[in-house]
Amino acid sequence: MGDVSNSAGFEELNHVADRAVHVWAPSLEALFEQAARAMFSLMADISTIRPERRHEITIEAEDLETALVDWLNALLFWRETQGEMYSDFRVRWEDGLLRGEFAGQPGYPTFAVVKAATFHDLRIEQDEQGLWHATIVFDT
Amino acid sequence: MVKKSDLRKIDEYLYEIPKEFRPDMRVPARLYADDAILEDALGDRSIEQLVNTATLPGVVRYTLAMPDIHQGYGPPIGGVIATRHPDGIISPGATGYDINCGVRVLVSNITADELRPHLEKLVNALFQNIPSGVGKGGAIRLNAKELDEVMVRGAGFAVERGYGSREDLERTEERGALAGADPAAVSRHARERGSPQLGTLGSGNHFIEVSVVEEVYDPEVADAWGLFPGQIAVWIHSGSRGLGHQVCSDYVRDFQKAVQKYNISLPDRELVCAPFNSPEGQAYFGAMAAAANYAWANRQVMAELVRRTFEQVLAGKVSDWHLRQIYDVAHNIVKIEEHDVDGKRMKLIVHRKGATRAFGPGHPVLPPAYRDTGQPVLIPGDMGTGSYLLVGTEKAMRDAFGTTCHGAGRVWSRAQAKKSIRGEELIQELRQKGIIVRAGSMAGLAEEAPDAYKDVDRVVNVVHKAGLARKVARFRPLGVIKG
Repeated sequence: MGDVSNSAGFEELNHVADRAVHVWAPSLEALFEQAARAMFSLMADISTIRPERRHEITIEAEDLETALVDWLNALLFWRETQGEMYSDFRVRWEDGLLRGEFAGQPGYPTFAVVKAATFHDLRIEQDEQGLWHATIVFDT
Repeated sequence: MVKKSDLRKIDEYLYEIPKEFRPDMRVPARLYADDAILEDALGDRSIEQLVNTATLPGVVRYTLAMPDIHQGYGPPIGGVIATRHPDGIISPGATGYDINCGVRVLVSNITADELRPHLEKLVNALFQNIPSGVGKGGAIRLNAKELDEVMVRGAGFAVERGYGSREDLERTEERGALAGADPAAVSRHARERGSPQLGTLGSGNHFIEVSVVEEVYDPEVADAWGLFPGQIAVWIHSGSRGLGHQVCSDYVRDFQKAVQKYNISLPDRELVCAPFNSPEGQAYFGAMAAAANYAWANRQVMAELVRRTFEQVLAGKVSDWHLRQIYDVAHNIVKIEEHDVDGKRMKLIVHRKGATRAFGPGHPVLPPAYRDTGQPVLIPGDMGTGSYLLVGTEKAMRDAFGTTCHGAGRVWSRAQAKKSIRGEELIQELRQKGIIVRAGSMAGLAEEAPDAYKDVDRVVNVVHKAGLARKVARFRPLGVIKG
């Protein structure tokens, strides 16, 4: 089960071959942060990951969906090549570019691996209350 | 949603959705299934996904799904899509994230009885010697030049470095190196992920299994292949690791622009594609082949690590510890092949995602050892039941672009599997059946519980009865290692 606080959170959905999540948040930036938290929660208990090492990346993409997939796949790339797990995320949009900060610690035990975020069934929408939602399917 | 009444029954185990079903279909879509498999498939979106594959530009004759069909992203798993060469599309989503996820089978000259006293020690040693699990480093760290060579020469690179022999290459699809690989088309990110992972098993549904030949169905072929009941074998199921996943992600992303450029409208963004002879299409094929070759090198290295482990544990304790290779097949890949379509010889771009090549007897591409019998087809099941060796047929060539199933399809989601069973319980259950399991992750193990999969026996029976591949032997697991 995911987090729920300040009307931002995530939950895992049932998907036969892979893992899927539904994420929601009051802003687009918070949505991207929740999506990252949801993804890493599929791999480990992120509540105890300490933000020891910080990194920052910039994502340039043609549309929101591509930006989200790029952001999540970039985090997976860093996880694998640095051997780190991340729990702390901060996203801001600046001049049409996504600036993402993330922090975590090396060598944290994982119970599963997410291989990639996919475009399958990818939806980013805002509901009538102005809350942002996204569904993302991961290849695992 | 597709309903049963939308399907036409062509044969006992073959159904077709005619192209009139939806206006964007260019060809019909076919499914090999029995009643139960059909009901399951109608219950989720796998058949709708199959219908989507029939809309792709350049698609030829019909698209297919094998009886291990299940819902994927883009095409269904178990899908076969052939497009016209050179201008039909090529699609990274129709090939899969784990490029050249595949299987290798080795057999020994000893029996399960001879091995039994040493089995636990052997499984522990395999778990020790072959790196598995999440993102771990592996036996061989490659520098940039070596990685280039692996991507072009595949399993051949590993053989040159002392991992196995040339005979192994003879008995590998494409001799372990697909032509047309282009390391320059592989991103820096993919290279960074691939450099430290050669010789590692990975996680998820990847495994190495020590098993025994439980039943022989075709004594003539079994004899020709040197198989006998009670014989010890080893199955290796693994793919291209982080390198392949990154290649797929990179190109699924790049092709989002390509579909606009080439005016291709898609029912699903994961079906992104480009004409094969476009710069984008060529780049993807080059990168895909490079990743496929990496996977073949990977299985070649692991096979040698398995052999060294057999020697380490069994030399002097059993009559003969040696292992020889039966075959190695890919089940997520795209190939350029020639097939007869409506009496005409056509060059095609054949995507197999969760489907295995199954060439029949006489095919010139097969090594001399298999030209008379047909190609060995390696079908891994799940941990609880077993695996099958099949042989390719003329009928598969005629009706299914020389293709058959790849294994058991999933029925439970991973989330569901984890809620239903605990890894520790599963290990006890399997031990009671005489199966020793060493796994890196209990939760990962639970996701792979046998109940989470379709019945492989059922899937194999469908392809056997439909004539796409013939059963040769069935294997029962004795020991399994997983990440």
